[in-house]
Amino acid sequence: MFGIAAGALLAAAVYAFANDDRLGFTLLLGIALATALGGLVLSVAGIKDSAPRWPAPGGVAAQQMPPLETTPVDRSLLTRPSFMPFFAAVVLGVFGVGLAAGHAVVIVGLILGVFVTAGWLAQCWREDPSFTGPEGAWISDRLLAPFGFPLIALTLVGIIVLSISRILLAVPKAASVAIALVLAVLLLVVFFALARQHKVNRTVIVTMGGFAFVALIAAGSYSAAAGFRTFEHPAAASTPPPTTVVAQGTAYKTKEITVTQGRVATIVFQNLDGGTYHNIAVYTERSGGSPVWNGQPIQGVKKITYNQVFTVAPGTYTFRCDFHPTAMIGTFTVKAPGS
Amino acid sequence: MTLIEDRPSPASAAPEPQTTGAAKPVYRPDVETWLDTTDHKRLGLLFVYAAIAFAVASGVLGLIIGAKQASPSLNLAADRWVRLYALHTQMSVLLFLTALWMGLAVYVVPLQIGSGRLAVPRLLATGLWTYLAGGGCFVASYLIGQPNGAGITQPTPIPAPPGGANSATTLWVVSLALIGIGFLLAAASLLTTIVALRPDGMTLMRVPAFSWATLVASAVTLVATPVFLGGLLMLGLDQHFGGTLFSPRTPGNLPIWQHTVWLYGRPDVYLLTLVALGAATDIVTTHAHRPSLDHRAVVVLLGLFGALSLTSFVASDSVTHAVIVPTYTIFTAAVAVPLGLTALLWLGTMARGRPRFHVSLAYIVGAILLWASGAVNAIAAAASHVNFPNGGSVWSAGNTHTVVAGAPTLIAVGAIYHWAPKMWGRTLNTVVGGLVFLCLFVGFFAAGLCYYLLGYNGAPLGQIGGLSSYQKTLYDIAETGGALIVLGVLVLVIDLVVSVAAARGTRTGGDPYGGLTLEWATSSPPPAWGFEDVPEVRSEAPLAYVRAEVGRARGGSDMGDRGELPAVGGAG
Amino acid sequence: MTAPLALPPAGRTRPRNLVNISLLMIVTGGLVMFAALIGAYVQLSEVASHWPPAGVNLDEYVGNMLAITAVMSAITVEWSWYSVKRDDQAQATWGLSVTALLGASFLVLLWDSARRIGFGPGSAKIGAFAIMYYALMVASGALALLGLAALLLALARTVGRQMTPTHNEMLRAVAWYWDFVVICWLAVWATVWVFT
Repeated sequence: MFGIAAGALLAAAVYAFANDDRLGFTLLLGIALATALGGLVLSVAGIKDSAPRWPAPGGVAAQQMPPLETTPVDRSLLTRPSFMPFFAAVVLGVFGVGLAAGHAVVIVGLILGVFVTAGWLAQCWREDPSFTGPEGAWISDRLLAPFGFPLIALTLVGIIVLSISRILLAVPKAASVAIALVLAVLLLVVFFALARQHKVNRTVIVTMGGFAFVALIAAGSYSAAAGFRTFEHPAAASTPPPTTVVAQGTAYKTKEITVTQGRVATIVFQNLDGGTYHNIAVYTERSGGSPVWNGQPIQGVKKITYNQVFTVAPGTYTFRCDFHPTAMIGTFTVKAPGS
Repeated sequence: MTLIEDRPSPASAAPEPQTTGAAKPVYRPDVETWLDTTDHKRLGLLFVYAAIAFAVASGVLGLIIGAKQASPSLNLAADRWVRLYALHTQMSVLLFLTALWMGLAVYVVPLQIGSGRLAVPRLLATGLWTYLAGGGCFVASYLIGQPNGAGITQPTPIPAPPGGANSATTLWVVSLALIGIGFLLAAASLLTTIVALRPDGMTLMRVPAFSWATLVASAVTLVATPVFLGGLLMLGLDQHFGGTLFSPRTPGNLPIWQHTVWLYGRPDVYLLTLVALGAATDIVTTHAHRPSLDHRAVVVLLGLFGALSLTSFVASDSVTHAVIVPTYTIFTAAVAVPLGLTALLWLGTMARGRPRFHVSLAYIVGAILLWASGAVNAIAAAASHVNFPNGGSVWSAGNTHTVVAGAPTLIAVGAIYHWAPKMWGRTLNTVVGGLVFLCLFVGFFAAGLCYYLLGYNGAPLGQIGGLSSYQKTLYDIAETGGALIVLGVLVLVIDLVVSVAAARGTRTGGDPYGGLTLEWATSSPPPAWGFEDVPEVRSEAPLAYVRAEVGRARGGSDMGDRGELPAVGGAG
Repeated sequence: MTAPLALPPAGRTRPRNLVNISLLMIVTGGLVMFAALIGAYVQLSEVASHWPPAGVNLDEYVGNMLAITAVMSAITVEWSWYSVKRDDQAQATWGLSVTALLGASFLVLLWDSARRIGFGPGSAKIGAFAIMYYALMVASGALALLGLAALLLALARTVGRQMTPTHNEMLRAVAWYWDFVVICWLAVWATVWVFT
């Protein structure tokens, strides 16, 4: 079967080559080779396909044929149900969304992928014919539990800490204090109520816990994407406060930067456009002109701190984004020292 | 154990637990058992339900874009319209039709070949959930922004904006990749099943037409989808980094776009017709109560169709500005040959058999009419030198609504009506089925005809505004056709809900039609393990053979002297 | 009367391994994907005036190192499969560990070289060559990453004594998959580094 397909495709490949279409040629050659391989594999796999044609030529007396048989179906050959395909697809989806959304989601997807792979391995392990109960008990007691429980605990703690910290860093100062207090009181109340129960329904706890966990992660991710609130630092006398420039929606939110000639200028550049590259680059003219300094591009959502000494003559220059030179423009002023 | 002593009838001998005693619903609505299932019947049904949901969504989108085209003063921004248009075209082919046929195949094929199970069901389950994830991401990508370009049906590549495209574009590319991977995994599983799990006696030549078509289609999918994935990788990187691979500045990139990304659509839509042909052959032979006139010819023709669908890669090297080309090259026109010959075989089989009417046959007749109209219009377009502006002509939309999407959709719905007794244990309402057929057929035909006529009038694809009154009338009629299509799908959903979920349809046994192939040799719906006992296969119509044996054992042969099979009544 | 339906029964078939067959289907698909990417690369190289564009420096040693590492890892994975068939658990474990190490180093070098390629200033940075280069590297790297995960899983099951001389389909499947990854890399290496 496949041999025929391979042959036909090889012919088509030759045709495409005659058309001077390199890609088509390579493609069809590849298809021909692959299908030839597939056909070879299938024939080697020992699929016996010979049987007499219908109707039997010449006719045979029906009485001479052995009677029809039936074959009972072996129910043990059925594959057992598994959640792993579903979770594997979820992981693929998360990974894919991460490619569009940002590095953090990709990392989350990869970590989830590790868990799903482990789960699938565990299921295949259990279903292997050589698996025995005592072996399973030994594995979970000696192997999984000593490593697994601490790992799960650390991961949970890490996730909780990270999420809450992102939330607290994103909201205004007063709100972060309030949130922390409210969260603490809420935990106290909930666990107090649980401790008072005589009998606690496991499903309820699992559902509530899962809900809280998912909500926490969602809030944490959202806060992480939103970025930090601005912090005030006690400025030393000699160093000027850093200038923060935010790029969002292919535009600078800050349109003016002022630095002092000869002094270290600290510019904190925050790129909030997920997946898009921006930078800050200083030129002598509003459009064109010669470059004074090109800051390193970063891909959103990300932040970078530029520390640069500007030695050019004091005056008015332009800063713009090298990738969006018309949409993102601002005024860059160099002051003389001492003014 | 021999068949004759144990079995008075071809149906399963085991008592069906669901018909005795208190009625226990067969499919418990536990979410868990649907999420972790490896039962091919459930996986197939999930595909079918998802496909129908996407069909409704895509139909509504089609109504919206058609309304805007018919009445350009409607309050809908142009860039929104482009987004909805891209959503409609891609959703209906990729997310609806392909999934619907995949679901039918996944359900029916393991039963037809007598294995009762899939070869690597977890692979197919992964494919199903990945397809759903991809579908979700696809819709999301259009909701969160404007993906670059109007979809993968454009004949020229979409250049990347400098600085990189927005995240909506990346998500769109990723979602297409997920959908492709999902169908690739499912095709691999199906192919392995058909190749490796057939019982003794079921040679490849004896495989029923639908299963054979699925085999060919899975093989072609296996070969065509990775090309698409490669193209998506290039497109994704290009868009993400704002590169120049697909910009007009780079020489030589047009064939890359055409071969990998755009021309994926060609084998893909051919495959939809291929499995439709296979299913229709099985439907025809079942209701004609005789095997096909020449089963080997059917096998060869379907295989030829599949091979030709791949060579469509070669077809459009030099054609740069048409999407679905009316000026067919040899290879593209050649697919009409197996299609026509197969249809002739159906007519011959019906003539030689003792047919009993079933509503699914009406769908096949409708599909033949749609194909015929497509052929007529193809010749007319070539003869009248239709003007094809650079963005494509509305003529292609007409072709899509009749040949590419209309006919396979009709046959798919017909297949649902045909196999509904097996899948849910209840027959769907014949009258409602006829109503659905009328809505769908008239809708597709009207929409298709209007778009064809608009194409002859010179209207470009995606035209908004600047309509002559003739064009406006045609767009109005096309909109009405689209409304009929949506109505048809909704009525189908109602029928399913009433007959199956509300359990108002007639209960059936294992073999309501007196079928010829193995899927009728088990209860309706089958148990989780498929069959209690698989009858021995000695021909491509195993159950007919079984019935003949039974008739012979009872004494006397009731064979007609033309060598026909006995027309056994439908009791299972 | 002679009944025209009388047919002799067909012969028996032996059981086939399903995982391996489905894996080979997927491998077929993967080969075709690389054919598409390499074909696109070749197509662009035929048509472009300068290929690779000016300012791009492809280190010879990177491609060669990766090819040598890949071939070595293919040999070791086959060695471990033969060891399992001969019921030699220790050698099988060693073979798989070495293969996993070689695979990991392959991935590390691939990642590093792709980050460091430093396409020249201006248009070459995001030109067609860069996109194709990254496409080939990403495709090879993704397949190799999946292969590395599969190797670690096979290693786990071998250590757990689940691979026996008679039941070793998973290891064979993993070995074939890894061979496929190596073949794809060799094709990429030949196209990009050897046949410039």
